Amino acid sequence: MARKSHHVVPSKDGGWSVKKSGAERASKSFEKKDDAVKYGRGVSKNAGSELYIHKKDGTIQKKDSHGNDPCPPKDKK
Amino acid sequence: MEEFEKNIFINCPFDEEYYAILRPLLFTIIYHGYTPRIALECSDSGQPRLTKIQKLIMESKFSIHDLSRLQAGRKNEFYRLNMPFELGIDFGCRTFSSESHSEKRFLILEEESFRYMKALSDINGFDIKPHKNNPQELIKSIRNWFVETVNIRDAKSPTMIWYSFNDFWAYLDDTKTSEGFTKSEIDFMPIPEMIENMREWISKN
Repeated sequence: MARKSHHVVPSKDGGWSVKKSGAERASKSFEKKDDAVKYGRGVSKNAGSELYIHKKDGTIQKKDSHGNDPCPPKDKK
Repeated sequence: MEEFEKNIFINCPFDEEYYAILRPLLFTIIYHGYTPRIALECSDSGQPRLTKIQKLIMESKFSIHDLSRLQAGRKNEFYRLNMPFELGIDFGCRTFSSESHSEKRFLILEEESFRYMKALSDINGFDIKPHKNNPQELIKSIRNWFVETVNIRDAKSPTMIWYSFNDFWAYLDDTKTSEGFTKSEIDFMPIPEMIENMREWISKN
């Protein structure tokens, strides 16, 4: 089953959008990336989902886990 | 013959800087059900590069030629001649080869509209679209070319394809991180591996 996730992605007008995985439309758009990340963190925490923060080229800059992390840190003992 | 109808020869730079364009380029082609054919798809040191390129051109009905590196970006950097040279070979194949090759269709990409006129005005009249070194502009150009050239009627919007690409990259990042890959190894993975992962994800989503 696909995990729930939210994404901060570049939008066409040069700003940034927050969208749910698989969604055809963004939930909300912002001029500044920081504002989109802030909003995305709130939405993702409420939904218990992963938040992926993308770079301008679509690759991943950072990921915040608010649900079940599919890649948890390895046990170092 | 069936493969010929679905093959798209990709003629583009292979430097790391260009990966920002190459990743969504490959994704958009596979997203529309076509097969990208690229010189990096197999590594055979026994085969001269030009022989490999000739074969790819002969086997592909469609081609995407990116001429955006016609102009050097930095002082003392050479501009790239491989891309216009390979476009010339492809044009020759279409013009002088068999009947099926006369149906070959090209998309030429540039960074800005009409800049090519200063360096390669002979191609005036070809289908040339700008990508502005922007992945979203690139997706729009390729998607629209599919609609215009292959008559795809139910094409998703460029924004939807861009969102799918971002979803795919999150999936790839998760999967490969759990397999022990570093960020750089994921972002710059070998092209055949990237293509295979794109195919698999697109077929399931």
